[in-house]
Amino acid sequence: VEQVSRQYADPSVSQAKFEKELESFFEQYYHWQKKGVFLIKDEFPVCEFLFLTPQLFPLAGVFAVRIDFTNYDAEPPSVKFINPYTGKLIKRPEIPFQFRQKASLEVIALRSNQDTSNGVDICIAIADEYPFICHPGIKEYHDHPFHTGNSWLRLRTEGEGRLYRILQLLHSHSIALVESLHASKPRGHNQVHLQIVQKKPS
Amino acid sequence: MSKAEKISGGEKEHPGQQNLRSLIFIINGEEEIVEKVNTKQPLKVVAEKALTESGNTKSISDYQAVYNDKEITLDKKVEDYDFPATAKIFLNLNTAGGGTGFKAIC
Repeated sequence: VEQVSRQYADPSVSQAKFEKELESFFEQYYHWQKKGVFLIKDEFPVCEFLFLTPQLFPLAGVFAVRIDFTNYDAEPPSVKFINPYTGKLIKRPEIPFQFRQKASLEVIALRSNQDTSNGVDICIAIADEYPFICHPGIKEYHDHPFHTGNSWLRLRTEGEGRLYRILQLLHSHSIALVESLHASKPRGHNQVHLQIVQKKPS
Repeated sequence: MSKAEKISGGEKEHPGQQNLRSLIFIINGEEEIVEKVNTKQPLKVVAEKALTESGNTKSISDYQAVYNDKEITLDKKVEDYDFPATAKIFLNLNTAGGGTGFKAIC
């Protein structure tokens, strides 16, 4: 696995903090299991998680992420979406639903020409189409030129960037909003199209 | 044995302490047990104590309380919820912005 950046912080510190985050995860293992969140790899500085939708039948594997704790917590963890079978990074169109968040006043103002009543998708892809979660506490957010005013160093002791928080964000903005699986067969096509139906964020 | 299991046996009740109990909070994924909680108090008071004791500096208004996957109000008294001894109340940070990164790519 290719690291997102070179380790410049003391690796023993980052590793100790990485292990502490995983220890906390295992303490809440059954909490995450019930929600369909499974650890599939943990090897410093990286851990990978698979997110399933327990409310759907048949069970559907929805997405997987690689969380990279290189330089943690001098830097926040990086979150990338991966194919759980190959470990390769995937692009936004390969993630079949949105990570919806209720639009803040700031977002409503910035997107005044869009309908934000159903929330906004915070899983954003830039030019290379590899998506990132646009939320404080995630490396890609803080690396983004639009967020230079919201320094990670200001947030890192407040809970953002913790593994629990990242898993909670990923789950609450996606899996928790999944209501059903909609199947349709367009006229003239032999294949059935499946679409995940999500509710509005509260 | 988890901290929750340790206290699930329950402490012996002493006269005059009928209204006292322990409560388990999960803050940023870590357990914080508040002992000797007066069940007549609003849950908010206990949650604030849990935040302080766990070293979290954000205000209680920055969190949402979740029990059994449902958001609960902190304004009610502890006794109103009838929490079992092993109940875990999750204090999750509210969404803190985000969704604005699109602008720089437009």
